Amino acid sequence: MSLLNIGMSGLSASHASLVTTGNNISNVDTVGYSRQQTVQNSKSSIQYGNVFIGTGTTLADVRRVYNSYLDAQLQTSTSLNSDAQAYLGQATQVDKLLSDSGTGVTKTLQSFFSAMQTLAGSSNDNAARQALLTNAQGLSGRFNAISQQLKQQGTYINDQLGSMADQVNKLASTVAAYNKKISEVSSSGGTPNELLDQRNETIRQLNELVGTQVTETEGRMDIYLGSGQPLVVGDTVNKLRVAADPADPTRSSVIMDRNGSSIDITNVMSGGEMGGLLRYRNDVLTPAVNGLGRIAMVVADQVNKQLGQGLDQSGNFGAALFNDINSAAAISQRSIANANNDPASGNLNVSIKDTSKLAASDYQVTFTSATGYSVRRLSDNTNMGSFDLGATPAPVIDGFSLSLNAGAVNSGDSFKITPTRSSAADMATVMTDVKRLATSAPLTSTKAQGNTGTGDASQPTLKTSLDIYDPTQRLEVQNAVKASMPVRMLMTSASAYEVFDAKGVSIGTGNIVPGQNNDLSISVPYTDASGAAKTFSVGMTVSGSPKAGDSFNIAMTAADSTDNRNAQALLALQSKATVGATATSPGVSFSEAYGGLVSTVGSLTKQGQLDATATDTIVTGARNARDSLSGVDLDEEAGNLTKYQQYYTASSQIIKTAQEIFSTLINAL
Amino acid sequence: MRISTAQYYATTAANYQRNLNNVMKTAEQASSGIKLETAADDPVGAARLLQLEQQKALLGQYTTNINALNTAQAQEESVLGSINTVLQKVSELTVRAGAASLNDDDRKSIGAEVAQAEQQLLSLMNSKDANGNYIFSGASNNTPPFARNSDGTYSYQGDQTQLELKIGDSMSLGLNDTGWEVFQQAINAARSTTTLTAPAVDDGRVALSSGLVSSGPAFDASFRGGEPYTLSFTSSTQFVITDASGNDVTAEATGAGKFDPNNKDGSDITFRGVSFALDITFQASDTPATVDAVIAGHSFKLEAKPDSFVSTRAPGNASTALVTQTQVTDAAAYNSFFPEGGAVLKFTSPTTFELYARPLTSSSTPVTTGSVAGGVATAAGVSFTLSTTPAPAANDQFDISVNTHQTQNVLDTVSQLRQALEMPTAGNPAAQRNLDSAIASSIANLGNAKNQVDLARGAIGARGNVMDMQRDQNQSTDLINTSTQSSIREADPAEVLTRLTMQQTMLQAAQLAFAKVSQLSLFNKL
Repeated sequence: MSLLNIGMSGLSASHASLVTTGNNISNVDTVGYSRQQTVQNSKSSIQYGNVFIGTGTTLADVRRVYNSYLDAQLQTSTSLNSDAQAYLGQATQVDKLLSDSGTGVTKTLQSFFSAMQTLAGSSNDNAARQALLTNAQGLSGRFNAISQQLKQQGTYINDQLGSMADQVNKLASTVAAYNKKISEVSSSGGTPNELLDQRNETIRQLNELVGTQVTETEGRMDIYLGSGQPLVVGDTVNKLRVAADPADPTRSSVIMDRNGSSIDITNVMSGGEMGGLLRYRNDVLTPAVNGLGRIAMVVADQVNKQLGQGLDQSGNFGAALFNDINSAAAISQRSIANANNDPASGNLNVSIKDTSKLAASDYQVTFTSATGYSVRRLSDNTNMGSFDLGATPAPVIDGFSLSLNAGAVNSGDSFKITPTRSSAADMATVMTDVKRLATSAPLTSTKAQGNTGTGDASQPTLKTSLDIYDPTQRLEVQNAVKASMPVRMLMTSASAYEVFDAKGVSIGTGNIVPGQNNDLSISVPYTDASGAAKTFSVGMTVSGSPKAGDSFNIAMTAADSTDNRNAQALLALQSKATVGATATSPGVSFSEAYGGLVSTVGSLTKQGQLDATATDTIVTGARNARDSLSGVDLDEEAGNLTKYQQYYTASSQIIKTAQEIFSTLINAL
Repeated sequence: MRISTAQYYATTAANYQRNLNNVMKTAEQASSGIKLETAADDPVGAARLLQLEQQKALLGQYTTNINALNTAQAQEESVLGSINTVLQKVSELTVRAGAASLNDDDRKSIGAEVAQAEQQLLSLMNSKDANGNYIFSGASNNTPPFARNSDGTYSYQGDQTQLELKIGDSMSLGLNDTGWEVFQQAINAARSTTTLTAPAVDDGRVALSSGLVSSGPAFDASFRGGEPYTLSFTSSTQFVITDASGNDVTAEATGAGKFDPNNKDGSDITFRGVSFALDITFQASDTPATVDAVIAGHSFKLEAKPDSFVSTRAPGNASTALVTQTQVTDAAAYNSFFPEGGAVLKFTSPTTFELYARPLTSSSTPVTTGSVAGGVATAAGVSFTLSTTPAPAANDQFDISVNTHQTQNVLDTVSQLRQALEMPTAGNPAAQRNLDSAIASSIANLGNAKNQVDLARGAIGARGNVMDMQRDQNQSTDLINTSTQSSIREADPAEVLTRLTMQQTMLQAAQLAFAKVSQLSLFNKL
């Protein structure tokens, strides 16, 4: 029974509490710190006869005020918020790029058609022709520029994934080291508060990079990614690395190495900055690249096609203004062979047959035999069916068809088909001679001098279209038209007519109804190179009441003509539905398609903004909840300081009293 | 609920940052006036804006076109006005020239004035616009529309294409009127002809003019159907007309075939839309007893003028061979493939030739080929009689132009009038009759030409009306477009400034609160 000992125990307990309070105060700004409290227990009492007298106090524990549930909330909300912020940061850039009138395509496209309209009013004006050519170069240059920016975004994502994977590895090793240390210290009894706090903080930082699931077993924290791939188990770490996707080398994918084998976790990863970037790449960047590419391809195709149907200033059929979308180089670059294919297998050529049916998507083609293959559309995971390489005509899937490039392929090979990915980057203006801009229509009709009736014939149109991607057919029909003209339609009576070719041979007869608009289709025969008999057809509308003996001549439009019918047809492309035709809808025009692209990216960005605001609120709430429990409040600690100071003073009084008792006892003797 | 110190500062800083962000954004909206900077601000609105911008661009194109059309029409209108004035003057000269009191010299001086008018007309019809393009050539703007041939006739070298420009979503208007429509299609009043078939030698007693079409519809409907007609005199007061199949159609003529031979001014016979002037001149030896005998037996063939050809030797020909006569020998072949607009006859050797459509270029292919038989080259149903000496050499070319006589260019009318006025008629009744019929047909054809010009001016006026209506519609659509765009894109200044004031107040309140609360610390009191 020693008052001194009791005083000493109180003193040391108060001292420890003061030190803990001081520790809390100095750690007020430490990230992830949980405030610590001392827990005191009274010492066991000693029995004197039938009374128990206490022996003082002892420090039972310095515990940290901590709730693992709140901590887990903070971690998951951190990963959500990082995901949303990374997604928003990237999406905003694409949104600005596409919708800004200085960088977007809309103004350049409008300026191109405006120059075309000026040309339609004065087809022989060299300045107007040059202006159109310059505008075409501006248009293709704009597509190139935007596509370049989008490509840089893709490269940026690959680079970021690489550096983030390194960071993840570092943080994961740190967590594993903490796991080891904590289990060593815990096994010898005691709770290492700082280590626990620091481990939690490291896991939170990890969540900023990638979404994790954390389970606590026996004091160690195991971290799992995605759909259960273990990143840290106890003190072992499975490292992440970034490599080129075997199906598509332009994209990086994230790979986890585990016990000598590798798993590709790109598609199951979510959350954190990495998850946000991957989500952005799938949902915004790839559709934007494909959508832009599709528009560029349709513009080049439709303008070239229409120019090919008309005559230029020299009286020859028109040349192409933009690059050929089915050139040998272009068709061989649209298919990417999987890195795991049979090394002896060749690659595929992808020819675009109908630009209006293109969907802005990539495709997965898998061979089930040497010639049979199945196609899956990747944007919405639709199975497009099974086809065969040997079928003629080649099957057209969503506007493109496949053929072998060089060597044969083997069963099991797979290819990624990207029909529209590089079209915007490849778009170029190839015409240099403005004389070759075909603004005139090929055929012109004239009424004969001696006509006595009131019949009138509209300007004729060549109804057989020239296929600019089939040089044989194109040359054949061009030569046939040139050689067959002029053609004469002679009225043999007021309602019957006969058609004669240039040599006076009758090539057909027909009837009209006088006084009405008669849409006629005249078939002109010719023989092709192999001697087969073919025809091309010419459309003309005859109205009024011609008399017997009246005739109408159809001839090739002369060189240097200011006829502007082909220019008008090119202008009609502004409103013609040329993009995205499906079974249920006829499609939309160029500018509407671009508007749809801008609007889609805008909506995704807007959604990203809302997500970022929402997750920001959630993470702030989670942080507040955790801080409210575990955070240090200086006022509270100030109160504690005062409290423990008093307890210390009171305990020191006990010692003073004990000392006085002793000296009283000594002095009495 | 506990508030930890770190949490307090972090929350305050975050709130302040958010308020500041809002103020900055509102300030930017206030200074730029735009609330939709990127598509994310309003995705649906952004898509709508792009559609509206597309519509505005189209409206801009239509306005450009309307302006171009206005300029072109104004110029054409003024040229047509000048041409009309010249035609008025020529008509007055023609009427004056028909007066019986004039002599050859008077007529010659009128002819000189007509020649001036002819040149003026040619230069007006070949007018160019501000860019140096011919306005009446159709689509061949670099070729002058009217050219004078070596024999004094004029031919149209342009085409019949009317260029169109769009002035509205579903509205296109013609930019030009071709010379073909305005000048070449004037109906020819003198498209009938009479030929004396019996007796073989003209004895000067009976003269029948070529005829003037007085009623176009009647001519096209009934005269053409039964030609060629034979008009034969049965006595000095009676004639009979039979059509091609031999039917007697005399009842359709004036007076049913009876006429008065002693009428001083001659008789006018109107038959199926054509008016012929009949003049009987008795010779001194004719007595009232013999008049019937001498007049009976005269017969004439009446028909529409057949197509006539002008074959011109090209100046660079190696030989001086000429085409002396050209006529249609196979009507079916001629109708079916003789080149419209003229042909070129090219000799590959003195006896073989090729026929091409005009113009002959390096890439032309021959319409037909053949060889000379008996000094006659026959191609596409037309026979060309060649001069025997000298024979044509290889690479000789002859330009063949066709006149169907259905229509007549006003330049040809004026030219023919001038030639008629320059011909002396003193004491030559036949020449006097030719002059009379020339003046009559000139007056009729000048009237037809003026009609065509008036039609063209009326069309220009109608187009102008349509353009004005369309322009008004375009303008109102543009206004609606602009206001819709600004309602989507632009910020309402009142709302923005109110918001800015409120946010500024919130920012100030946050600053004040922070200043006050951060001073409260227990450590300050101990």
